[in-house]
Amino acid sequence: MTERENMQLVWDHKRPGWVPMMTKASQMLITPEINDRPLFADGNDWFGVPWELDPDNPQFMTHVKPGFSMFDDITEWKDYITFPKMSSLNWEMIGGRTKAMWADKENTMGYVVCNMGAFEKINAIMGFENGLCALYDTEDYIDFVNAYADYRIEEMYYVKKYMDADFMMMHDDWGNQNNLFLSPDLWREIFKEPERRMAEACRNLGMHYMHHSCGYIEPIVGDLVEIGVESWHSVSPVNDLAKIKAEYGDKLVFAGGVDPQVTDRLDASEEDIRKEVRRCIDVLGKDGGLLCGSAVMFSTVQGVDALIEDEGTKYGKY
Amino acid sequence: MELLDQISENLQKGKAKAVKELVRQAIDEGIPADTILNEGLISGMDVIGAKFKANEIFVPEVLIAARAMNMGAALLKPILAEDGAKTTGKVCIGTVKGDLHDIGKNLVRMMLESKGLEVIDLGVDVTAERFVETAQKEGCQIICCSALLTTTMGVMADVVKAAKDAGIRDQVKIMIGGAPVTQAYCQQIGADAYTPDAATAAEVAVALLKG
Ligand code: B12
Repeated sequence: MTERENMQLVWDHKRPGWVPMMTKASQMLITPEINDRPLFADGNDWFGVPWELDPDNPQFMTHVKPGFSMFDDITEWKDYITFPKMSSLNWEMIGGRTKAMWADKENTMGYVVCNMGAFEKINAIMGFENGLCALYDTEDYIDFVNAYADYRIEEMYYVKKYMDADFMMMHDDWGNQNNLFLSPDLWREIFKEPERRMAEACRNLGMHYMHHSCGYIEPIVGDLVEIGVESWHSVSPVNDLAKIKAEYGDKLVFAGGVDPQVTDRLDASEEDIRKEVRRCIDVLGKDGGLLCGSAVMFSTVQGVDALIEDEGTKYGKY
Repeated sequence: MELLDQISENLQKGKAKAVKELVRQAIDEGIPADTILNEGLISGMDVIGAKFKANEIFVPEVLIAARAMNMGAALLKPILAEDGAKTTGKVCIGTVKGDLHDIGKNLVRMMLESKGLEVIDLGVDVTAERFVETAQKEGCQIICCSALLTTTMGVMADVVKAAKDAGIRDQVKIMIGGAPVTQAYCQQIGADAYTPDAATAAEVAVALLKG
């Protein structure tokens, strides 16, 4: 059985031969042309938000220029935002490059990351605090999230057609260490339906749909399952994971799971890192259901990803 | 007093305009500025802090309440200054070098301000030296450091060391916090206090100032 076939068993909620390690069984297919954020150089994104690279922290990606805010009243968003047309990109070229970089297609699953969901996008455009306060102009906020979902759905169509990806990861951090950023009810009012539409569109195209959210999102995990989100990536242990696994393990694939707050420490020993991988597999990987890896996808500390992969490969046998 | 209750209630709902109008009305009615501050604005923020600590409300609700508080407090500031009112303490706060996460730090600042403390916000990406220099120059009794990354929390140990080296360690309390920080880490680096949330941070700061 190939890594790819083994990973497919997890998506199908069947028992895999071993715990698929994300870094080994899947290949991220990059789309820098979709300018959500310049990743490794200074520059503006498609929406006009300025991003910069921190020369002191070359391992980090770019961040929004501190203090930037395009506008502070979301009711005016249409005066500032026009959505770029995905059709304007040279998809033939992107498809060709994908083929070249995804050499091991037989053995790995390919995925595309939507670098920012609507929540993160608003926070980047307006500034985090303004973006959070904008949640209370709920109607206009919903308007934006819906328009944004349409834009991402258009992307999915091209990603499937020209890149033939197996799954998409939507990156939207709704949680922090202590809680959701907004009440579960407000989340349902604003994000649930657009998220359902994106998941549905993705599945209808024949790709699996994974949502990445850091932090504590336990109160809405059931909602995600209900609306057809097939996988949750990040899966921080600030959530009651044993309970969530017991309740939704037969419907929801857990992805990531290895906590960078444990592994990405300069004072972490090799054994600390290996132990964290075993914790992740013990709590989330029983009888399958886990695509294991760092919750941040790529660790910010050198050497950690290799250790995670090594321990997961050794320990993750069924 | 009904008007003060109204101020508190509107503040809790984040109704900045209403708070501003009610504060103006209270001033016009001759209610002393420090009474309006304490029994209207601060008492409203106390409720917000308690609910946030109990995870009953969420970050945006605290933000809009704090914005309403600031609107009201701006009207009171000149009067309080005239009255010669003194703040109860001075704090400098920042997110440590290499780290840009600032919402938690900002919430701590808002909660400290809502306790009537004077806060100097150094922003993000703040070096250990800058924390200590500011504390020295401005006479801060407390330094508050926020770190959200395991890779930057070590700077907090540098702050403790820099305060020692500058000879001010016995004059200044050092508080630390942020997602990866724990009580054990606080003890390990010899800082004075850690709290898991912003409301408790403000309570602890007030307690530390009382000595
Ligand atoms: C939002 C967010 C971001 C935003 C920040 C925007 C902003 N303006 O702040 C952006 C997108 C910019 C970002 C960037 C990055 N992030 Co980030 N981010 C988060 C996230 C999802 C939430 C943080 C947050 O805002 N919390 C809300 C506030 C209210 O909570 P808080 O900060 O914890 O504060 C509370 C308490 O801790 C306390 N407190 C806070 N400070 C203080 C201080 C004192 C003195 C006291 C007493 C108390 C106290 O009071 C607060 C309120 O109650 C966390 C997830 C998490 N689990 O926390 C990841 C997280 C912190 N990020 C992470 C990472 C890896 C990054 C990046 C490196 C990603 C990358 N590859 O580029 C960059 C780093 C950029 C940099 N140089 O700083 C990781 C860190 C892992 C680790 N190694 O520790 C986390 C944990 C996500 C994860 N699961 O992996 N991030």
